[in-house]
Amino acid sequence: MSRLLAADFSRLWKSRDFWTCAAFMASFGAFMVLLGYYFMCRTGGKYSADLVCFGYAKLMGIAAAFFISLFWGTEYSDGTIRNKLVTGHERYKVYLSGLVVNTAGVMMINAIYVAAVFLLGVPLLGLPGTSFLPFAAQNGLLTVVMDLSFAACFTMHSMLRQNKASVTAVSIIAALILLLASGYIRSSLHEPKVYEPYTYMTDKGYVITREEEPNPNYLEEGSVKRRVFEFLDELLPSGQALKIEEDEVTKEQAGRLVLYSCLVVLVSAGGGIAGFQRKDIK
Amino acid sequence: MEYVLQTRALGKRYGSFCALKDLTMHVPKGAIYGFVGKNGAGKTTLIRVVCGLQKPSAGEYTLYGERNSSRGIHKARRRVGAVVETPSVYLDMTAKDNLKEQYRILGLPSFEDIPQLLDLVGLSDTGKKKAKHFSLGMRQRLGIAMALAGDPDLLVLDEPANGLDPQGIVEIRELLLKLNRERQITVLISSHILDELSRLATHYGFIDRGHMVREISAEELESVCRKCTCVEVTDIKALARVLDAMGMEYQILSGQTADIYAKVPITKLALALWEEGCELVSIQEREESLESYYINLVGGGRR
Repeated sequence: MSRLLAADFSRLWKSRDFWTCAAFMASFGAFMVLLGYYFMCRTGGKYSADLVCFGYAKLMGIAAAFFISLFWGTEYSDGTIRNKLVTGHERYKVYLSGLVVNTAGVMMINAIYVAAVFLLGVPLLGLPGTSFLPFAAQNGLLTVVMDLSFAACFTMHSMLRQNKASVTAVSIIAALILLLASGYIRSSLHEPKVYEPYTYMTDKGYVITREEEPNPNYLEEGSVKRRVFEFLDELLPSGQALKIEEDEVTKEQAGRLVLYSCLVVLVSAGGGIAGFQRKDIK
Repeated sequence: MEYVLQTRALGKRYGSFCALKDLTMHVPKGAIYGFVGKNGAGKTTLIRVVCGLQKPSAGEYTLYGERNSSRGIHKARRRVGAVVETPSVYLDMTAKDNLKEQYRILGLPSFEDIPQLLDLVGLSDTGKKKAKHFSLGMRQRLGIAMALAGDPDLLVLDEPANGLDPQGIVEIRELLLKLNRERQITVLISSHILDELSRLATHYGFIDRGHMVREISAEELESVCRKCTCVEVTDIKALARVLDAMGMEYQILSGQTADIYAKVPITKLALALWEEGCELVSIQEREESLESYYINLVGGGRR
């Protein structure tokens, strides 16, 4: 497999799709820093680079979908996957090599965002505080497994379908749907149990006081729906991305997130390899 | 005879459509095997199957003695170079970068052969031009160069003349003949340009509707297709005596007919036969080309 890895990494390095994604994420990182700098100047408040350091997470699903479907789709659109199979490389090795290189690509895109944030953020916003390191280590680890699970899902899709254009469109739409679904799940989970009492004055000058009211959208503790939502929130890589970005992962949760990511990777890579073994390549 | 590729009752189905049916073929070592068939006859499907891009639905094949179901088949495939349908090249890379990529896939330690390979296929002056700006013929040549990387023992080419200009076709033909003669590379080549194939092939396989209709060597085909005079007489032994006396090459087909492979002096032959007490019943000239042989074999009409 080392030969395949050498060939795929060499192609990654020359890939315009990869550098386009990397440039976009670097620009996004720079934009986040400049936005922080702007607020700091306007409000006079304190702002540091670590606050936008994990801002990539929300976009990683879309970036991974874009990069992997274009990068790996080229193997089918140019027909070059045949060169690997004709010369005797076993299919599971071709798949695994693709998975490794796609994952590495996604991680590098990630790293380029972080590098852009720190290169621009440290001079403009100053160094992050000492409390940043442990939290960065945890989120860094979670980012790696999140990237892996995104890469595994989109690699499976790119390997099993041979039409580059449709793979790209479907992957990006799927990434958006995942993000929206996770956003909905999280907002549902964060619904308050009751609406707080409040008082307001009408146009005619009457003062009206509303009593505390139960929130009909609240998901009851221990209910099946809440459990399912909590499970999906932690299982879906898009849910993990939102958690990383908002920095709300506890230590117990971190273990579970890693476990769920591993599960996603195993299921999608296992299914992908099984499907790819049987696939008729044109 | 040693065969590098053999198929036995090979079948391939796509849903209810049967692309290959009970196909048996033998590609001898060192041969240029011309694989002939109409569009949709199953040529490309067979090539995809033997190249490992698709799995057969029935039957089996052996490549360098390794069955397709054995683990050794992957090792045997390392001896194969192929261009299946369209050339498999990265359009965003130069010819040189494409070959470097192929060298990495093959695990070749050095790129020093690349200039010679580019020279061999006539692409040495393409410089930094990317493959997407190549003509179809140039891509075809690059595809062949990619297939030749790593010095394969078997070269599988699917319609290699597609997109090539007449000069390009001649060059590719010369290249294949050179590779076959100098490096003893076995070539399996599918084509429906029969005239071109007849200048190359040492063996032929005729396929129709996924089934091998006939395998024949070029020598056998030549004897079948030779220009000859078909003679019908009342006494075949007398004809044989006369032709032997005249020093003519012939082949007896039945108790009354024979093919004579020479220009026949009709009056002289008729007189000689009369003296032997034999009557010349009919005489006709016959010539068959690869094309007419193929048409006769598979039927001319579209089905």
